[in-house]
Amino acid sequence: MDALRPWGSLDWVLSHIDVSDWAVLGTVSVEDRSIATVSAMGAALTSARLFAIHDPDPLDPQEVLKKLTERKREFAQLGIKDDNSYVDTALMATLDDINTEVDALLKTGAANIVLDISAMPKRWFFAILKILSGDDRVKNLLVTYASPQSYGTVLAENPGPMVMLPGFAGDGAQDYHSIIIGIGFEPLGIANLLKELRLKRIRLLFPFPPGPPGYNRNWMFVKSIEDMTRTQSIEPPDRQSIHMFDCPHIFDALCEMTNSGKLGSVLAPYGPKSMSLAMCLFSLAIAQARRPLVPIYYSQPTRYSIDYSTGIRRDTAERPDIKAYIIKLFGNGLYQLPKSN
Amino acid sequence: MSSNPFFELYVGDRISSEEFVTVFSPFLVKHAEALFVPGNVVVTGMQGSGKSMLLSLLKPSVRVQYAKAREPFPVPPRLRRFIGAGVNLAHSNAVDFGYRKIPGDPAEVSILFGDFLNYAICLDVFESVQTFLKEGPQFADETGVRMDPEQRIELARSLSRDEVWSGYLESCNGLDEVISRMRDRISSYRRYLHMNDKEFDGSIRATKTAMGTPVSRLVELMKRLEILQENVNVFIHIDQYEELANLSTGSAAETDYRAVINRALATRDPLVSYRIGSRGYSWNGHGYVLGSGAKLEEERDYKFVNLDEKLRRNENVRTWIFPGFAADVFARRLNHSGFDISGKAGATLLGKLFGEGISSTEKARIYAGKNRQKAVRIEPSWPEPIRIWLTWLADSDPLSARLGEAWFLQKGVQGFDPSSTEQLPWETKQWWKKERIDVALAQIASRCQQRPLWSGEDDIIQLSGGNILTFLSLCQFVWDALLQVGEPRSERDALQRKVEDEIQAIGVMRASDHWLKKVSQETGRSGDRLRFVKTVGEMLSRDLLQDRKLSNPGHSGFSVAEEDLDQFPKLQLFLQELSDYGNLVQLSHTTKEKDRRSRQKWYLNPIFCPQFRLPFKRHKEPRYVRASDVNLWLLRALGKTSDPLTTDSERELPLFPHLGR
Repeated sequence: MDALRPWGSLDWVLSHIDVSDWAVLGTVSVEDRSIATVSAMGAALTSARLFAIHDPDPLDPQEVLKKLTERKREFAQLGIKDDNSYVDTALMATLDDINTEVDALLKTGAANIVLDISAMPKRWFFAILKILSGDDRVKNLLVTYASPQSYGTVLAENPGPMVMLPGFAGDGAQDYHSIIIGIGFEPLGIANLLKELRLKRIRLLFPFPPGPPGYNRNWMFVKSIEDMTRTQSIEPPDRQSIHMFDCPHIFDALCEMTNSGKLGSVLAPYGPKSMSLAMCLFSLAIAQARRPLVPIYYSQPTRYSIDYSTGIRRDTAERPDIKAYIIKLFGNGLYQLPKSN
Repeated sequence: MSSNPFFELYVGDRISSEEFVTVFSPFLVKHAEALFVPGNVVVTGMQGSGKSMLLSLLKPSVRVQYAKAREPFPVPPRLRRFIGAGVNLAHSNAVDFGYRKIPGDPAEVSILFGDFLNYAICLDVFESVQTFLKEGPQFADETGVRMDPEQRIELARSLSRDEVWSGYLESCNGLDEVISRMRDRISSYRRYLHMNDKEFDGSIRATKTAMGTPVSRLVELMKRLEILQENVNVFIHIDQYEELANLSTGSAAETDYRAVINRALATRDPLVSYRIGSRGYSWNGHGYVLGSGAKLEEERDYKFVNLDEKLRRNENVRTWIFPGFAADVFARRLNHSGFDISGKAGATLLGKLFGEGISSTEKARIYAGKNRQKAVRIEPSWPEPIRIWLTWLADSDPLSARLGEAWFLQKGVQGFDPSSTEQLPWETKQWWKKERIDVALAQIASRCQQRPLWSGEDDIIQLSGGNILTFLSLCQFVWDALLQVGEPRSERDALQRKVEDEIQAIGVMRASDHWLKKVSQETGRSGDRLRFVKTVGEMLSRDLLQDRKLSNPGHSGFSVAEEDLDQFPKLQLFLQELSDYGNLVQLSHTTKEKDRRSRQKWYLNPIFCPQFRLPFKRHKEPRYVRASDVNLWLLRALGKTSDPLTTDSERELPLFPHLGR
């Protein structure tokens, strides 16, 4: 490990950075945890831009509206009263639209940004992270993730095809040394990807400790990947158990697995968001180092369950369990490829 | 015996070219010859229809493997003079056109999309030619492809001068530079679409090409230079066409990406033939051609090959090709797993392994168990001799007793003499009985709280619904159940003895459960499709099981008049999507009504039927309903209180309307 990449509870991280004016980019969501970061920021929060990200075809539009209105009221009680802080936007928005929204915040002079990915779809937070990482106006960048108390039985539905996430294309190659898959609940679309690409290895990042109810579903996921690849002329998938919240460790593991990007790889982030965050940062670090690009494939659901998650988990001290990761500190990106490479 | 030879269901999709040679069943080739003759073809077929396997034959790498394995290439010799190339729209960054707004009007964006495809296709043509050339001269004769250094130089020179590229290639020296320059262009698109470049490269805009023209010119040049012999056909496959329907940048005036590809078909280019892989719902009813008010016409602009239809059973069982296909695939899959079976032995083996199943009479006895009188419900108003006699009959033949119950309910008990029962009327009316046996059995199973049993070769084939993947999955689950009970079978005699019906039934039920759950993992509106299938399956099952008279044994499906459905275009599209994904089977049928209106009928995919205790055989008339009824079912399935298929604008959810969208 070459760099120190601090992470921990939001309180702890904030208390160790000498910055007092943070702006939050987050969501107004049906998920309770969408409010956690803003709620925990207290006086350190100076402004916010919160996205109501709408599915193209919600199952129960009225119930969504009801929940979002209630959530907006909760945010207002926390001091986010300016209507300009809230933005209605589409799940399948273009990169230009996402860029416009991020730019609107940066134009206000906000230089210290907290990106709350708790209830933000990957399509959005991957793109935002790319934009923020590459913008010199951003001096300090934190990513926060609040764990929920529980998840619904069905998280999302109507998955799209397995394609590259906006902003995370490869170089057009079809041959890669490996595909690195973050283990989640359902390997949607992975079969098509394994068919299209020519791969030597399949490597699985297994979130540890998994814990019920994810445990069984994680193992079913592993089994289905093993089943799919049993007859392929490819090495059997190997598995690396890794702390699901330890983003820096996952980032290092990705560097190690790919020899810092010298071995061409493809990423498929099905796992926990903190794992997906590491994948996103790794792909950005590769691009920054001008190594062969690492595409990130994902089958984007176009409908999220209204009960995707409920509640906000509490830590042992009964505080909201919010993890914070320092991505950029005083203008320096912390997630870069090891210098020795 | 420790492993399952049907372990890998999707082997056809993901095997290497080397393995393809042993696993591919050439059975379908003769039924899809249109793919290998000049002219445009649109091919549809759900996963498991064999579409991917057939289209793989266009890939040079697969052809090379046949030669290396010294196996005859499955395409008839008279049709082998071709090269294939193409793009998968989902995996080639083509769908990334929905990620950014390209400045310019939609018409220009359409042309740029075509330009992107042109370069991607031309690059793949070079790749295909290169694949053949690498294998040496033995391919030259069969494929009609050769290229010596002089031809190579001349090709590069001609390309760089050709005005079709608007000067984009003019600085290139040699073919490698041409290819590299083309790759740069694709890369430039990718960089912009993924926001690595903020601005769109102006030089591309100035040199954009018209859809289809560059590949046509490339082929023309290759033929003129005799790199391709004159009689070599060039087939360009464009797969996952349906994904283009979902591309949107949220602009008021959206680009019609499908019309761009349709433009290539509309030219009916004698030098290049297109193979479009699409789902029916995306293809049907569109057909608009870029830059023209016209629409594509089947048979004039393209042929339509629907593999699902070819494999589905029609009225005449003798013309049904699926059982032969399944038998061939069955044998090949076993061979792939290390058994030694000749291709023709597949059918015999299927019969040997799955047997004839359980007779209907025996099934009823099994369901009824020791208390067989449960199979029949006797009306207290019926005369005592009949009541006693029917009870007695249920003890020996519960199925006949149940049919008798229905007969009496339909026709009354008058004239029936229990003392003279040699010729039971319901047993002598062959069609009446045949049409009702399956529903009667389902009802007996339900009354006796038993799960219906499905077993035997015929059940396995019919439950597959003409889909080879479903068939293999049934084999897999049955084999798994066999392994699970630990029946001792050596590798040698693994195929020599029938799998017990009870074990088959367990496998069938698990396969059915697997396929139902799998619906939600597919693309499109899969969540809605699963809800609809469950709602309709439960409703049809409940009504059939409550039909004591057995008056409507055909009500395992429903029928809607076409002109009625035309009033509900969004529902129509949804039903077609259900059919395209194989969730429902959609069939045209003649009406029993005097109005003679043409109608469509829908049934659940046979593999779902065990889950809903529904018979999969389609007897008699389905339930006649109105399109508005089906819309209500959908409403109920989605738990909505208003019309589920409202316009998109009605679905928007402005939380902060004053800010606009």
